Amino acid sequence: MARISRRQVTKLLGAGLAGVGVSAPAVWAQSNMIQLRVGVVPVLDAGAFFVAQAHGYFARERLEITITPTPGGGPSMAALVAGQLQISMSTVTTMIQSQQEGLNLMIVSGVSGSRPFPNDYSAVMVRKDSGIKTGKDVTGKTGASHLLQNLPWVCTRLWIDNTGGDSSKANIIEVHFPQQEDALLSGRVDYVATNEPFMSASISAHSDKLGIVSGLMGTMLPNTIVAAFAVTGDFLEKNKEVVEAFCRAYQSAADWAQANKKSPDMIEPIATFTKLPQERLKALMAWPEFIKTVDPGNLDRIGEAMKRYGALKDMPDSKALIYKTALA
Amino acid sequence: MTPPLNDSPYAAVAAFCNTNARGGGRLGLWLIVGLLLLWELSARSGLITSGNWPPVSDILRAAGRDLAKGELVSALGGTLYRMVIGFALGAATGAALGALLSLSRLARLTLEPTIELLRPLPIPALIPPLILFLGLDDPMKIAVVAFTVFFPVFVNTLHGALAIEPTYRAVAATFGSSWLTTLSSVLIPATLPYVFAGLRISLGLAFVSVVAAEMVAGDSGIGYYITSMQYAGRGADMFAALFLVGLSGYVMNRAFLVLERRILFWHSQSI
Repeated sequence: MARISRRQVTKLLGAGLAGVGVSAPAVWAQSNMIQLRVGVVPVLDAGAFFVAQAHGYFARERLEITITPTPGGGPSMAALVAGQLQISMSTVTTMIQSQQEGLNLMIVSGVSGSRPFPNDYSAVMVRKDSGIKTGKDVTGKTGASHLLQNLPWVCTRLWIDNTGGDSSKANIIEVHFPQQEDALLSGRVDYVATNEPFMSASISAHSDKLGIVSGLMGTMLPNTIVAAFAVTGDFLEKNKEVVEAFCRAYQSAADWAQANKKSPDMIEPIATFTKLPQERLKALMAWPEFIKTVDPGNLDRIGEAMKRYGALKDMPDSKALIYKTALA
Repeated sequence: MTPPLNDSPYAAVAAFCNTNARGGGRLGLWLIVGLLLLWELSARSGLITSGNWPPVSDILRAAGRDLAKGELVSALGGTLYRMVIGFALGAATGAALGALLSLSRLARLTLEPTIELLRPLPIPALIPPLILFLGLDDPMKIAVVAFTVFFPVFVNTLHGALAIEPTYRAVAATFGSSWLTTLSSVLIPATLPYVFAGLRISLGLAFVSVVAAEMVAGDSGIGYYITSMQYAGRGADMFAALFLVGLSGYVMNRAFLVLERRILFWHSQSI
C-alpha cells in the first residue's frame, strides 16, 4: 500500500479547502461573525437590504445575515415574537397594529418610503373606460387593494375622500398585486391600488386600456414611510450592539442605494433576490425611497388615518415604537 | 373448477375491457393534449392577453430551462422531503390513535369530541399561529402536513377497525388463536384497506398543504418558487412549477396505487 507523506496530506487538505472556497483566514473570520436571521419581504422596497447583503456591508460589521423571505404582516411579526427571526422587515401599519395588540416591538430602521406624484411608486390605476378620474367617480364601482387595512388600502380611502368621494360607501376588495392587472382588464374591478414593479409593467403592456389617475401612498401621506425593520424589545435589550451594528450597515447601504437607484450594482442584487427580470427593473417609472429614519409625526399621521378608517382603535404611541437608530 | 380465462366467454369481455381501458387512457391523454392546444391558441391569438396566461410552449421552454438549471428539481426535492416526513408522522399517529380508539370505548369518548372539533379546521388558517410556535422552517411545514394527513387516516382506521365482523373474532377464538395471531391474521388485514383508503386521500392533501405552507413562509420548496415567480411577473416559470406539481401528484398517486395493490394483494383480488 502506498504511503502518503505529511507534505502530501497538507497539499491534499489545502486543495480540498480551496475546492470548497474556504481559506484559513476565512475560517477564522467566520468564527468571529455574529449570526443574525433577518426576515425580509422579497420586494423592491428591500432593495437597499439586498445591496447591503450582496456588497458586504453586513460582513464589514462582522454580521453574518441569513435572509428568510417572509410575506410581511402578521406572519413576520409572529416569527419575530417566536424568536425565529431576530430582525424583521414589515410595513409600518403592521407594526403599529402589533404595538396596539400588546407586542413589545421596536422599529430600529426605516426601509422604504414614498414621495408624492409623479415620483410616487404607488398609484391608483384605473381601466380607462371605467370613467374614474377622482374619488367622486368610484360610487357603484369596485376597487381592489393588495391587503385590506394596510397602507395602500388606507391611502385608497384617503384618495376617495380627498377627491370628492365617500370611501365609507366604496366597495374595495382584496386582490393581490400580481392579479390586479387581470382583474382590471377583465372588468372584475374598476380601480386598483398598485405599486412598483406591477405599475410600470401594467402601464407599458396596456397603455391603451389602463391609466394612472393619482399617486397613492406618497401622495396621500406626503413622503410617508412604508416599511421598516423591527425587533422585539427583549432582543434589543440583550443585543443593543448587534442591532446598532446591523443598522449602521443597513443605513450605509441605504445611503448608497438612494443615490444609485438605476445602477447595475443596484439592479443586480435586487434581481437576484426578488427574481425580477433586470429589464423590468430598468423600466420602472418610479422607485421607492430607501430611507433610514422614521419620523414620529409620520407614524402619527398614518395612525390617524388608520384610526379614521377603523384599522386601529387608538392612536399609536409613536415615540415608544422608535429606537434611537431610527431617529433622525 | 373455473375455466381458464382464454377458453371462456369471459375472455372476449376481458379483452374488450383491456382494449377499452387502454383506449380510455389514450382518450384521457388526447383530452389533455387538446386542452393544452386550446390554451396555446388562446394565448397566441390574443384572445387572452395576460402575463399570468403565457402560451404553453413558453411554459415548456421555461420548464426545460428551470429543470436544466436545477432550480425546479431542488425546489421539488425540498417539498417532497417535508411532505414525506409529515406524511409519515401524520399517518403513523392517525393509524395508531384510530386503532387505540377502536379498542377502547373510554378513549373514544374522551378523545373523539376534540378530534372532531379539530378536523374541520382549514389548515391555511392555522399557519400563522403555527409560525408562532414552530417558526418558519421545516418543523412548521412538516406539522402542517402531519395535521392534514392525520384526520383521514385516523377516521378511516377507526371506522375500519370498528367495522370488523364480530364473526371473524369469534372464528379466531374458536380456533384458539393467540392474541397476536388474531391481530396479525384477522384485525390488521381487515383494517388495512380502510387505512390505505385514508392514506390515499391524504397523499393529495399532503402535497397541497405543504405547497400552501411554503407559499406563506420560508425560502425553499415549490410553493415558495411559485409565489416568487408570481411576484416577479414570470408567469411561464410559475406555470412550469405548477405543471411539475400536477405531474408529481399524478406520479405519486399512481405509485401509491401500485404499492397498495402489492401490499393489499388479497383485497385487490377480492374487488
